[in-house]
Amino acid sequence: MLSGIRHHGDTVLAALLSGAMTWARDSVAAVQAIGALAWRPSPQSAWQAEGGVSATAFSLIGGLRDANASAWLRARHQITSQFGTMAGASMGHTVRSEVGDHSNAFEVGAWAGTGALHLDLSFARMRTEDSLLLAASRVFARHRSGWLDVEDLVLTASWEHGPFEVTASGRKRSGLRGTDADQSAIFATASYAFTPRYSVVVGGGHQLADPLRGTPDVVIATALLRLSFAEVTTPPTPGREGEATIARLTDGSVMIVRVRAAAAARVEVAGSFSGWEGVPVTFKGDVWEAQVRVPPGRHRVAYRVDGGTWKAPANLARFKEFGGEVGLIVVP
Amino acid sequence: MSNFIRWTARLLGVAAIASAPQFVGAQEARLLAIRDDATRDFVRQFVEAARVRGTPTEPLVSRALEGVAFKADRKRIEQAMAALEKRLRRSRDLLGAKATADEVAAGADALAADVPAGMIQEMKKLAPQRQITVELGVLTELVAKGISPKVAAERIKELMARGATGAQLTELNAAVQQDVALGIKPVAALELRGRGVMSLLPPPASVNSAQRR
Repeated sequence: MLSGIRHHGDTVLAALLSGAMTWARDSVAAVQAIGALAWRPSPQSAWQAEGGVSATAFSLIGGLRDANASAWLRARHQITSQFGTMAGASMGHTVRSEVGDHSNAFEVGAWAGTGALHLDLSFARMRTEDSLLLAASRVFARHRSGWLDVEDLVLTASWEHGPFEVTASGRKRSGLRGTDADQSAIFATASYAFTPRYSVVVGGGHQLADPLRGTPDVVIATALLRLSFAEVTTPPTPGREGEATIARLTDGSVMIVRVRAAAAARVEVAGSFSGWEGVPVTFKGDVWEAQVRVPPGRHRVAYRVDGGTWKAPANLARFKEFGGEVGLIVVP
Repeated sequence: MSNFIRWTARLLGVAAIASAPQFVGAQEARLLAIRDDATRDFVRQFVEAARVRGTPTEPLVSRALEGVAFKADRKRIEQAMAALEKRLRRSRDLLGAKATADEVAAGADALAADVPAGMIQEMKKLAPQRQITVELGVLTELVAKGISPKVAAERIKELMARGATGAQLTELNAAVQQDVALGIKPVAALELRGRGVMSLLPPPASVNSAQRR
């Protein structure tokens, strides 16, 4: 699998292109291409729109007779820094042995995040003509209406601790309008970033059939090496009130500053990169945050709250000077 | 061809002469941020004297401005600049005449973090034809986190010898930072993360052959 993501203009627009080739033991092979876009009116906007299309060719050996195309659209709204909602719709069309089946779905959901834990709950209703796919996964219609209706309740939890990230997802599927379905599945992945650029991801579990994308009910195990060419590093949220943390992007041009100071009226960061002129930091929900462009080289950096004493960010090496402390960062 | 070289050299010479006053002018403009006249005059004279001695002046100006931002008095700024200039000169001696201003400043930072002079020289010997600003910066950060200079320098030299890039060393440093924040001892974090970076590098034989090529 190969994929790439591109951010444009302060993360207002992001595009993802992905291609994958799958080879299964029963000689079923697939080639898939995915394109997706995410857009928000401004970096501070609470609204975000996402959309994407995918195209898949199955049974390559059989001469590309089977294929699927799908599209989806979703809107997200961030209500607070720790809670948000989403709604979306998707549709897919699968051709198998020259017979086409249409599927569509809509979903609503909410997410909540606190510290290292992130929870996502969504509810989706799906209607599909793909009776062959669902029958293979033991979902049947009690009458010959041509459509099968199911609803999915999905709970996803992810937990991040330093270089470790674990995600588990549980799905409960029930039948509607004469469709017999009572299924559940759990899938989990774990990743370990052994450098900010390279990480290993392993996963496994049960995934229910997806008529929108034409994928069957499977029990799978995966392992992959993930390589990021220019990944965006988010600094850890400062632990204590008045503390700051700094991270830099691995492409070397921007550093991200985060300061926890709920009651502050003004926060600044300064350093050799700014001639020790204060650069204002903006309040974003629960932390103060700024992205500062820095040239390659070594830089001494400090921050201050409400015009107080300059301090070194907590996660940097510190040097004492002039009765205070500065941190040191190196930009390649 | 010889005419081309001659004209290019002249052009570069003119460009260097034309840009020097601009650089000095830019530094002078920055010195205006020092509101106290006596301190500003001292800094200006100190920087000019350092320039004559061939010491990089940008770190000195930056340190003076840092002192002003920290509301340090003139005496303290004088002391800090004098100490920094001493380290800059020592660093230049260790890194050689071809070292860039940024590299010399990184060496001075390393000396301030109590990295032994011999280790800085050894690192430069591993990469005599290129800048080692990032390598020295990462070494300084690791030492400032509490890792002994010997252990940190040995690990960085090992990675340099295997062809680790500046970006890889910076990532190593960021990963160690992350681990230390989680409560892992700095030495253990460096050992663990260092092995991770090492596993991504080509074996020593191919580095040697690549360097020979």
